[in-house]
Parts: sequence; structure tokens; C-alpha cells
Amino acid sequence: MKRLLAVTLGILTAIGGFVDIGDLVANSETGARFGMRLAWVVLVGVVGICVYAEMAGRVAAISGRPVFDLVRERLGPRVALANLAGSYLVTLLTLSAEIGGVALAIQLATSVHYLLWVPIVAFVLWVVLWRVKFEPMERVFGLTGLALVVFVVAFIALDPPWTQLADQATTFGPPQHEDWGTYGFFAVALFAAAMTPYEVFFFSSGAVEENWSARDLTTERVNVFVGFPLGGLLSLAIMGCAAVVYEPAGIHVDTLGQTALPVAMTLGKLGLAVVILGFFAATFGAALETGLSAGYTVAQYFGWQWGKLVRPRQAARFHTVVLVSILLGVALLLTTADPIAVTEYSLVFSAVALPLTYLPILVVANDRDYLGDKVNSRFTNVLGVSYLVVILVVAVAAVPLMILTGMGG
Amino acid sequence: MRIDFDLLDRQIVDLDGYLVGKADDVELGVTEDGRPFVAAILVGQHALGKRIGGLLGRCMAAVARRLHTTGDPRPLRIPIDRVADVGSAIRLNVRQELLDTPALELWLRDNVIGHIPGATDAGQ
Amino acid sequence: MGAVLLAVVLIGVWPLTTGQYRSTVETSVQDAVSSVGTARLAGQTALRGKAFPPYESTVVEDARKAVVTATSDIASLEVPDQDSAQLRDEVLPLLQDSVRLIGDLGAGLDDDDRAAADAAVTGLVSVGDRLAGVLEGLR
Repeated sequence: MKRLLAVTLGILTAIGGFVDIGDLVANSETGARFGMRLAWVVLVGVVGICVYAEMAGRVAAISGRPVFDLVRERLGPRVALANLAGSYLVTLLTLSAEIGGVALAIQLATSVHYLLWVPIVAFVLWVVLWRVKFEPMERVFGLTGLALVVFVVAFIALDPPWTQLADQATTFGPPQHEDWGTYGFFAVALFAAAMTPYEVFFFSSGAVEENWSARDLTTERVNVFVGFPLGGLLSLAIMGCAAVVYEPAGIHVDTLGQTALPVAMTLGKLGLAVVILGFFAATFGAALETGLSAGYTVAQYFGWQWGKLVRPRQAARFHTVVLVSILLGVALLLTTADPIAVTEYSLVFSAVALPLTYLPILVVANDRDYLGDKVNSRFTNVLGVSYLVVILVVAVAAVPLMILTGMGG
Repeated sequence: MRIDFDLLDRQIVDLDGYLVGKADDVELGVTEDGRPFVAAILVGQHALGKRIGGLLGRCMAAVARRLHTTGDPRPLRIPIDRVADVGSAIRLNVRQELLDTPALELWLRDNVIGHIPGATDAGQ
Repeated sequence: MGAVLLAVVLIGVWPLTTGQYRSTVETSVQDAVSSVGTARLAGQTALRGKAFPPYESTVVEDARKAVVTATSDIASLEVPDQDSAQLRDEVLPLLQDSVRLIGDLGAGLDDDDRAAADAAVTGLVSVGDRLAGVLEGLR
């Protein structure tokens, strides 16, 4: 049982990072518009995040240095500051979107307008970050997030036209009524959603908070290779549900309620209750991750004491950054900005910020001063470098595609 | 050892693993036979701002100086003989209580975080 | 700099061309197809007892608001020519029907009036088909 619980960091990172408000909507949206034609992007993204999260976790476990320490050491103070500005902004936008996502999930269960829930959610979020220990936090939200497995059940219960979906998944290119621009835009958004930088910030900092050492490398790998593929599976199930229910009818998806509808259609009230619980846990987990990551990035850039292992008094600057970030996130939502639109923007901008985060990880993962004989294998390096090329292409393409297609039209 | 690659921008931790800051800059000295050596490590946004340079760097340094309510607005100076070893972090042979607490940390502790219930509860 | 600003302002206030009008209508009709379809599915699910009231009302209300936005997007545009006017006359009544039917569905579900909700779903099926036909023509 203890072994089983040891993978909760990976599960929380994956549920919160992989299946957050952005993916819940983006996967559903893509499934509705493209069927399974973009399913391959999810697979490419899962492998990519596995490769880099494993490296980041390994560096953190052996050297005790989380990702943003590496960013500053390897890129120097100026470039790292640019990365900090970008990453912090993206993380803040995501945090805001996640708080909105939690509020939207509660709205589905209560029909009380989400804006009324936003301040309450933000307060509870802050209390959890202030008071609750790292491990119980990670277990409660990681494991509750598993409720989203109901999408896999619903997908099978929908009795999908397997051959047709397989055909879609194996053809490269947009369907009728869609062009290459929107196809590219959604591919970039899905890839960025899978590789969002805050996932490695959180995962590596969490590894330090849990005091991982060289002995925990197996746990670290199990976390990565169970957590992220699980997140990918859930993403595909969400996409599949939308592909079966919405795509034939030509319905576009842009609300959380629509994402849940296929589950209600097949599994009824119980399924619906479970899926809303899953939404709540996944978005709240992601809000915790992004809230902490906002503090982690700033504190790690400047070298301040951070984390939940010391008295809050001893990490006053870190806790202040977390608190201010939550307040900024709430302020953005209270301008009545649509949380879903906020998420979409954060995905595009995180695509731009990706290379500056992943390059230092790759460099340090080959540094014997940090890792001794645990440096990257040749195979990992081949994968790492190939992904860096992909990441660069995505980063360059993101903004032009956004402008060209008007956020996917 | 190369200063730029092995020392600068590295995390500094104290005897117990408490995070002190980054090696934002170094102070060089010259031995009697004219060879340069690292005399001390400087920590703080004053030093960092100077290294970053430009308008942004000047602003950062100015803010850091302004935050000092007492004493000399200078970065924290850690003499090199306080360094136990340099690995993935720069490990000191003293506890952080013996070093000056950075002004920003002190101010936020006394005026913001310290006022919230639970601020002094043991780490988690 | 001045020229760029002038260009931006001119693009903003220049009268719409037929093509631009048509593409706005296409977007609005696509939104309406999505909302009407979602409301229909949600209504059917609710009538089968497979959802609970807060969820139903949230989804139906979101759908209604989306069609209202789509309608006002078209209504607020200046019509550039006769063809566009024809297009507007074809589309606006369908959008108004959609708003009305989705509203009826919401009210029916709230009041637990199965007959009314059922009728609204039937209406949504036919409006949805007609909207889909229009969308096909616009593409």
C-alpha cells in the first residue's frame, strides 16, 4: 500500500498538469472538431513530458536542485530572468484559469454562477497551501482526480465506431470544413498542454519537498511512467467521447458542461456526479500546483528559501509570492474574463516559453558534477534532443498560428 | 574551478540545508604575488542588478537598496572561508542565523506573513 | 507610426464587404448549431432521468447565452448589400427560434413539465436540422 501511495506525486502532477481545465476543454474541443485526427499529438506530448519530467526528477532527486535553479545556473541571470517573466506569466494565467475551472465545476453541481464561487475557492486554495502538508495534499487531490477515469468507462459504454475512429487516428491532416491552420493551431495547443512548464517546476520541486534521494530513483521513474501516461489516457478518453457524441453532429465544444455531457448520456446521474467530482479535484489540484509553482519559480530564481518543509515565517518571501499570485489570479477572473479563453491564451504563451525551460534540463541531465553516473543514457539524449527540436518548432509556430486562425476560429 | 561556470548563480545553502540565496556576484582579491582569487560571495539583488545591467538591472539594485531600513544597503557578503564545499550547491560551514537576514525577507516576515495565524507552526 | 494608426482605425470603421458579412454569419450559425445541438442532447439526457437539475440548467443556460450572443453579433452589423440582407432574413428567424426553444426547454426542465420540455426538444431537432442546412450552404 505504501508503495502504491508513493506514486501519488506523479499522479497529482499528471492529473493536475495533464488533465487540468485547459485539457478538459482542449481535448473535448479537439475531439468535437477533428474526431481522433489529432490523437497522435497527445501521444507525442506524453512521451515528451515523460522524457523531460524523468530528467528533471532525476536531477532533483540526486542533486537536490529543482528545475528553476538549473535554469538560472545554465542560462545566466539575464536569459533566466526573461524565462522567469514568461514562465511566471504563463503560470499565473493558468492559476487564474484553474481557479475559474474549480468555480465552473461547482457551478455545474449547484447552478450558482461561478463568479460567486471564485473568491471562496481562492480562499480555500490559499488555506490549503498555507496549512496542509505536502503529502496529504498530493494524495487527496491526486487520488480524487482519478475519478476522471469515468471518461474511459463512458467512452467504452458509448460503443464507439472503432474502425472509423481508428481511420481518423491514422490519417494525417484536417477533416473537411477545417483547414491546415486550425489543424496546426490545435496541434500546438494540445502539445503545449501536455508539456506545460509548470509540470516540471512542480514535479521537481515536489521531489525536493519529499526529500527524494538517489535511493528514490525507482519511485521517481514509476511516478513519471505511470502518472503521465495515465493523464494521456484520460485525455484521449475525453477526446474520444467528444469525437463520438459531437463530431458527427457538427457541434463545437467550449464549456465544461459540454465536456461532461457524454458521461451523463451513458452513465446517468452517478456518472455525472463522479465526473463533476473529478473536474473539481483535477482543477483544484492544478490550482495548487500552479499556485506553488508561481512561488517556486520566483524563489528559485532569486535563491530564496521556499517550500512547505520550513515554518512559513522562514520562507516569508515565498509565501508572499504565492499569496499575491492567488490575488492576481482572482483579480483577473473578476474582470469577468472567460476562464476557458484565459486557458487558451496561457497554452499558446506556454508554447513560446517551452524551449528556455527544457534546454537547461537537458544540459544538466548530462552533467556529471550533478548526477555522477546517473547522467542521461545515449537513448534518452537522442529522445531529448529530438524533442527539443519539436519544442522549438512549436514555439516558433505558436503565435503566428494564433493570429492566423484567430485562436482556432 | 571556473567562477562563471561553477560558482556564479549557484544556490547557497547553510549547514542545515536552509536556502541562503544565490551566488549573485563574487568579490575578487589579489594575492601578494599578483594572482587573483575569490575573496567572498555576494548575495542580494543589489549585486544581481549590477550584473544584469541596463535599466532593469539598475531598477532591481535600486529597489534592493531602498528596502534596507537600517544599516548599510549592501549585498550580503559571505567570505570564501565560510564555504565548506561546492557541489550542486555551495554549502556553508555556518548556520544562516549567523548571517544577515535579507531586508525583504525581514520586512515581509514582520509585516505580512508573521501576522497570519500559523506562520510559526513547524514545517510540514 | 501615424500611417499604421490610421490604417488600424480605417480597418475598424470601414464598411463591411459581402464576404466579411457572410463569414460573420457563418461563425454565428456554427455557434447556433453547437448550442442547439448541445441543448437538444442535454434535454434528451434530462428527460431520460440521467442528469440532475443544477447541471441541466447550467448547460441549457450556457447554450441559450451563446445563441443570444450569436444573434446579436448578426443584428449589430450593418448590412452591406441586397444579398447579405437576404442571408440575414434567412438566418435571424432561425436564431430567434433557437433562443425561444432553448428558453422553453430550460423552463420546462425547471418546472418539471415533461410535455413542454419534450416539445422543446422536438422543436430543437428541427431547428438544428435547418441551421445545419444553412451552414452547409454557407461553406
